[in-house]
Amino acid sequence: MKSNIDNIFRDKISNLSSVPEGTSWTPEKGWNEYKKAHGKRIKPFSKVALFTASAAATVAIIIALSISTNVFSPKVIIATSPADSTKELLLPNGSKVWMNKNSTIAYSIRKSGEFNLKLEGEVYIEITEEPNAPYTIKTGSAVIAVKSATKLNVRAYPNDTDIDITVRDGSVSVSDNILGKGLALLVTKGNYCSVSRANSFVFATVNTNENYLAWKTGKLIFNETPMATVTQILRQYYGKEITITDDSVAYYSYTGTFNNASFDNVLAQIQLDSIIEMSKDGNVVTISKK
Amino acid sequence: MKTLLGTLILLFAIQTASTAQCSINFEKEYKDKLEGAYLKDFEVKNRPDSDGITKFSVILREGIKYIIYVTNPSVPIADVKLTVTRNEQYVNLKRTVNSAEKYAAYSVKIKETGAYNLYIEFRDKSIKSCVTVALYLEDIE
Repeated sequence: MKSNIDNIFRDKISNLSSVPEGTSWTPEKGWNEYKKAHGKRIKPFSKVALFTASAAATVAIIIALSISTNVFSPKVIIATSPADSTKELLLPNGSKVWMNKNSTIAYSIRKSGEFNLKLEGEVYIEITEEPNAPYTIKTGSAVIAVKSATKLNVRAYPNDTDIDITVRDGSVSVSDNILGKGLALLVTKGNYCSVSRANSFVFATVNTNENYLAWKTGKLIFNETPMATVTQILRQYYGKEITITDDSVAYYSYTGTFNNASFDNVLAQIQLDSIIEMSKDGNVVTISKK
Repeated sequence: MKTLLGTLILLFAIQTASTAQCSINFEKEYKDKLEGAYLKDFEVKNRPDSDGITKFSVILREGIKYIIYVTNPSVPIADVKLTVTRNEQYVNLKRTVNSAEKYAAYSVKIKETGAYNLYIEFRDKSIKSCVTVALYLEDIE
């Protein structure tokens, strides 16, 4: 409505052909004065508008950041294995991974091919070809760099005092991220390395543990193994509680091999082969001398 | 007869256990009694079919004094030798033998952080025996 009045007024002014002599008024000047007196006032930016603009800007920034993050950081893929079974995976970079029970891996691959894997639990990894980009496995404070085709087992359950890395084939360099990347031990085929969770102590030597892959192969080998170690391996493998009541039993050496045997069968066989006796009370097995 | 049989079985058991008892023995007899802060222990076996030398690698830190204990329940301490190298150079060790407790202690102050090699050598390579090597922290400067 106001706009119509403005139009009528403007038309009227523009139709004026002349004004009295000596008058400094002109139609343009009149129109400008009218606009000045009756035109719309520019209102100050209202608080609501300011808030809306700020919110919109914030949303825009968040969207921009999330887009840029997706662009520059690769997607992290997480895989877990159940509490009662193992799991086998083929990763996009061709690595084969076997996960022991209760294990989790989180990995990412950059466009450059750089591969990063974090794990908790126990995994056996086969890297069939020499990586052409950095290939890193991290767990706890241990950093494992793979530079060649390698087969390795990493045991890193949170309750274990050490992180154990056993190299079956190829080689890796192992460092502790508290000590720094420059301080690494080269661990080659047939050797193992342990990184202490408590004091970052990095240690490597020949692997003498024949059962490090028992969780994957189902094969348990005891070769003049002291009963204290046998029970430790069985405890780890079957997740059972085993106690030795007699110290002399702990020193007793046992030799025997089991293939995918049940816990009860293993106990029965050891009992048959040796001077020890085992009794079972619920989930707890007690070992004593016969 | 039953007692005799039992004794024979036990003797057999003790004999077969003699080569595999080092780590258990260390845990029971030494671990908490030795001086310093415990870091790591490992069992070293002498096998007649090997050259009698076992190598270990560790990262040791500058300015820190370590004690390396060699505990030995079955063979005389003098029959086991420990050497430490860094970049193929021998590292000086101070050796103290405690014959009564059957262990030797080697102390070393590290001048440069890095990877060090430890070699355990059994002088008599023909016997089946074992020792436990344990690393302890003496102090930090």
